[in-house]
Amino acid sequence: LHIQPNDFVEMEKSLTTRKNRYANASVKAEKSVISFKSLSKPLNGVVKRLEDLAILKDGWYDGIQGKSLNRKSLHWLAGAFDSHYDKTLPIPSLYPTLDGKVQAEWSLPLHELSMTFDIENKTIAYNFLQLDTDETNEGSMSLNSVSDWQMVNSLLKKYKND
Amino acid sequence: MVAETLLYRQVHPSFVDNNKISAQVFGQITSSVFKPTPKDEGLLSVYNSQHFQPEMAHLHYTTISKLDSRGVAAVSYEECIEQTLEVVADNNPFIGHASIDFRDKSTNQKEKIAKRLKRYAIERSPDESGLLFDIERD
Repeated sequence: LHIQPNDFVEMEKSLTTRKNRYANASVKAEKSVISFKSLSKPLNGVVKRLEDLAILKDGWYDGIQGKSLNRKSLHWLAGAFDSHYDKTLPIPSLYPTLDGKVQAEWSLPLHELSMTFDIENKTIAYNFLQLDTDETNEGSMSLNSVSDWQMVNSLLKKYKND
Repeated sequence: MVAETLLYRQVHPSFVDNNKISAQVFGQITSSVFKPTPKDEGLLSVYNSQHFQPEMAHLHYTTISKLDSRGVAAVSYEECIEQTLEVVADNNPFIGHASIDFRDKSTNQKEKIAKRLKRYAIERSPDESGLLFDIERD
């Protein structure tokens, strides 16, 4: 795959096309049917993001890798966030993982936190990195009960004022 | 490579969350950007800034390799060395290709390093998105 002079011409031509494509995709996403229950205001971004993840198909990453996320399980996660997540805590960014899970991340001034939700088995694995000391806090737990979510909130509360 | 050489990693569109309610207009990348996928077999593919500008790296990836990318996130050679990562300018499968070697790292080490590299990329980006070049912004 060596670059030929004509490749650059092709690249230049494609730039405008790709920019238009992304603009159109954004419009399409705006018009998509909102089928998830609307969550309370602080979590509006969460529900919209989970809807985005629901449309990913198998092979979404590169045509081979990237498992689709179970829509019913995403519904469960949206509802669980709405019912149990402490709204005074920072709202995470959400991402798909290649094996069909949802990774929540919080980039805070002194910490980089992540929680990976296995939405089909209702469990999480968490990994918290303290940037100044390089210490990590990691573990896993089930998410089957209200008390489990209270534990999640309690884990995150330590970083509330970060 | 020299300490300041930048290494551009392509960012899949789904690896940017645009929906977070905050001052961030353009969203933010996930640390997974800097974790090798199973297909990578421990070698994270990047573009070498000694051969590519960020926008050209993105165009090459999407046009020649025909893969999807929202833009590129950048870390420096020096930052990789700080994380005890070896970087090889292998120029394979094309001139300007390099690999960041995670093969001797445990799962936990990969997780920690990916978080560190994400923070470097965020600090380097103009809007804290982690994207040095963003097809939607630039």
